[in-house]
Amino acid sequence: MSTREDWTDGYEVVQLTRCEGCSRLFYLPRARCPGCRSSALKEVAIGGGGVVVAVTHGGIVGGSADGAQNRGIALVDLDEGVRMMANSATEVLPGDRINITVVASPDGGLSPLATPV
Amino acid sequence: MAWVTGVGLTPFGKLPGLDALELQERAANLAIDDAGLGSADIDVVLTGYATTMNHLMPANLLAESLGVRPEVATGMNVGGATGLAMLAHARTLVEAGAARHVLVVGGENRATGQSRAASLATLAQVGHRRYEVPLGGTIPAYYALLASAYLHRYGLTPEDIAWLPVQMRAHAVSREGAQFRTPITVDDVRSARMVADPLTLLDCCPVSDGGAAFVISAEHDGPAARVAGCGYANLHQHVTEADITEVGARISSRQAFEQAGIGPRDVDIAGIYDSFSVTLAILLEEIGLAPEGQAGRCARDGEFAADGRLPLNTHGGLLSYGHCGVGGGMAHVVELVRHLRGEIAPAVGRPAPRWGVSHADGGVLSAHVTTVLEAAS
Repeated sequence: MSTREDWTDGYEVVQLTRCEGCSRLFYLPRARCPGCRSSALKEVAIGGGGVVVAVTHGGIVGGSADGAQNRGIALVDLDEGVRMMANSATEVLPGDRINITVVASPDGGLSPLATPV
Repeated sequence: MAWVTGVGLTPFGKLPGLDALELQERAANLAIDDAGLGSADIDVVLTGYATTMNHLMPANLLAESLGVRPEVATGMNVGGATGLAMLAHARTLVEAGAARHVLVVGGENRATGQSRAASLATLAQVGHRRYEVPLGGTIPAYYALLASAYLHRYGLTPEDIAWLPVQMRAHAVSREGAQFRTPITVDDVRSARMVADPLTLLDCCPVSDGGAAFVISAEHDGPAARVAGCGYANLHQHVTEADITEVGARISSRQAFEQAGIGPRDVDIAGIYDSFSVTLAILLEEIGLAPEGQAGRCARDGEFAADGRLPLNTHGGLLSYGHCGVGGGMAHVVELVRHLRGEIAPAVGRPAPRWGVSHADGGVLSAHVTTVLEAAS
């Protein structure tokens, strides 16, 4: 698995991988392009815009002590044509346009947050 | 040809004092007895994983305990689809002439063998370790995302799919061994504690102790059901990567129906994986057992009742009979086989069923296996 300098590793950015062989963009990191198996891969930062596909609140591990209970989770189709999971502001609904930013998460790390545009 | 010649099912629920191996043994002994076999007749043992028993070689552990010395002892891990995947694999072995009697077992003390938090944390690991789990997701949250997208796509409300758990409970009311047997209404489902919006506690299956087993054989003397078709699909692992309009059940079921030479309209009785209300809705529709966006409406109209168009999960399903992991999806098959063998009487005025279909998924609608069973003539 490639190592990205992104929100999972303390950097305030969400990155996608672009395959230089077939131009495919993907989110979950892989050693090779899942389409053409090329290993010529390049990390690119997202623009931030997208549309909510699905959203839920609750069901959060850890309960309410750290406020985690109030975090929602959303699936977002980014304008780049790639789907990602993000935390969500409570007011977003499927079909809403949102913007993804990287914020401090209750567990002390970072997480991508979808907020209404 | 391959035949289900024996089935075994324990009660599901809280069964304190029984560990995973003991639950597997109970189910396995029931199935071996049901098939009329002895220990020496079993030449393959297949088992699923148990989250409460982190053993390196569970099939060997079980075989030794049963007094079985199989040629092949091995296991499979495809989440909730494991039981049906083992059934499909057993059929392949039997039809290839590589086995005469395959014992397939799943069982686990998932309810009493660990804390609820530990169970949820284990299950949440089907999420991506770096890109999903740290966002705070649980299994119900991942399925809630599928529910959110499903309801949005068809312009439905959570009430529309609440009829599915209501029907599952109606089946379980008269079923010995089911974990929950008190009737519920759509209002009960919607006013239950919210687990992950839009799914309430009653949209979610319970965590249960229990076990289930089958024997798959190359021939049969007594009552049996023929394994007429099996299909698989594995299109994604993580919900982030899922095509939520084509999760795989359409593909696996087409393959299974084609092998059996029937279509969804020919099915007399069904056992479809119902880990959540929305799971059942999506699977029924992809398999072709309900029109798109209308699985809940079908349940509301009584189509899945014992005397309805398509009796569905007549033991109560995962939602009400219970869910003990690998054994949970196997209970649906046990129920179908009992119907196809004529041991459970059909509703008044109905002929005995000929064709049964079972489907299970693992992960977040990630791994799919469909099997078509036919009553032995």
